[in-house]
Amino acid sequence: MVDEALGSEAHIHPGAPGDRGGTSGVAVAPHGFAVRYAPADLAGHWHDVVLLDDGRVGVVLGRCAEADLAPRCRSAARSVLLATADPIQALDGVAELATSALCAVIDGEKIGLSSRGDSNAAVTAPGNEYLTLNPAGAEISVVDLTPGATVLLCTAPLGPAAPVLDDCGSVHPEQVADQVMNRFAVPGVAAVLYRHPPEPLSITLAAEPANLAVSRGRLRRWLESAGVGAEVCADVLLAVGEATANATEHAVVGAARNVAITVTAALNAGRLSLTVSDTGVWKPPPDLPGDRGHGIPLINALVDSADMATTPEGTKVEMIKELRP
Amino acid sequence: MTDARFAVKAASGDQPPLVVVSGDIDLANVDKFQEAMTRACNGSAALTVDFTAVNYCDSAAVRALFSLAAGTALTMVVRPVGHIKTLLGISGLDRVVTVITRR
Repeated sequence: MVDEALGSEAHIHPGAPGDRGGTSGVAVAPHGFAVRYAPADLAGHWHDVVLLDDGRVGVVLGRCAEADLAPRCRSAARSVLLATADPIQALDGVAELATSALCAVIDGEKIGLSSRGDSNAAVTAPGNEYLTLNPAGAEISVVDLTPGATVLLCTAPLGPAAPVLDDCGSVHPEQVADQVMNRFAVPGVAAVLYRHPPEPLSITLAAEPANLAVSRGRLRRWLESAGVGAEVCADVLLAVGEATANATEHAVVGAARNVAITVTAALNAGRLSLTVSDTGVWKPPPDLPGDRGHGIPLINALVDSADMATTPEGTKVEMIKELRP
Repeated sequence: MTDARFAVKAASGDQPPLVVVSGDIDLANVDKFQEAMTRACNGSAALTVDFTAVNYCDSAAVRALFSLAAGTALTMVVRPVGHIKTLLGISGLDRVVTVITRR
């Protein structure tokens, strides 16, 4: 049942210096999660993001009347969640310790969620207003996660922070999390924000140099909406940019028709899949060291895997980039 | 369309001429980049190119820089991390030009 737990020092040493009474949670969350807590006056607030089996991810957070109880509460919720992947059982496990708690399990395109007290969650789909999730009592509410949906889970009522979620799908989730924290009037809240992978991207443009900036701009915005960090974003833009520029430069040679280039991007389980395909005739890179032909070694260095296939119809470069926490 | 600015500063005293680049460089405007460097050089044996404000550049720019470095002592100013540093390392350009890092 148990696959892998996202451990952190905080779990092992809840009383470590700087840890104000068990306020911390995961050290490293999987891709798509932005975790925030206001460090001041956070006594008693706790949260955790837990990798379950079958690619499911559990989120559990809450608060206790006394700060000393928070580490116990978090580890109790975590161990039940790891063992059962059941939000209700996880909340039952902390019922005597927590004044308020919320637990959710993200399973593919669905999120199942339960809460006790006033810990609160909301979800929004791109282009839509937010929807507050308030499962009553011991019920679980299950909501579909549409592509690019954003979920916010908080130890306190969302109040003025919830409208930040309205139509936030194109904003990087780390930025959304910052805006959420700015809206809370009282310090002392732990928040976990999750961005579901957006709809795959597909751009088809004529193989012209002027179009390189167009497809690069669109890919950049898509990567931001997918929550990809700045460094990985730059690597991906360069790898895809090199493949696109190669196609623009060489594919045209010998092609008897107008050449189009298609760039695609998709995010699945923390893995970015990227393709650049053209309808031209591939020309192998001249191997003049220090001059032309840097494109392919560069692509190999920037992504985790790259494959190139050439057919009479054109060339396709397939790249994989793992999004490591 | 790919946008970049090339601000050229003439040599003064013992300082070689300088090209400060900002924006993006790719196939669409690499010729302008090459022109700006050639213009700035104007017979000088050395040239400094400041890339700290470059948002994106790919191997098209690297080719232009290699070609200039063949006849000129080239110094590049780049940010300490990021894809331009990667680009210089993988292409081997950092073995042909002097690289200075600055935030």
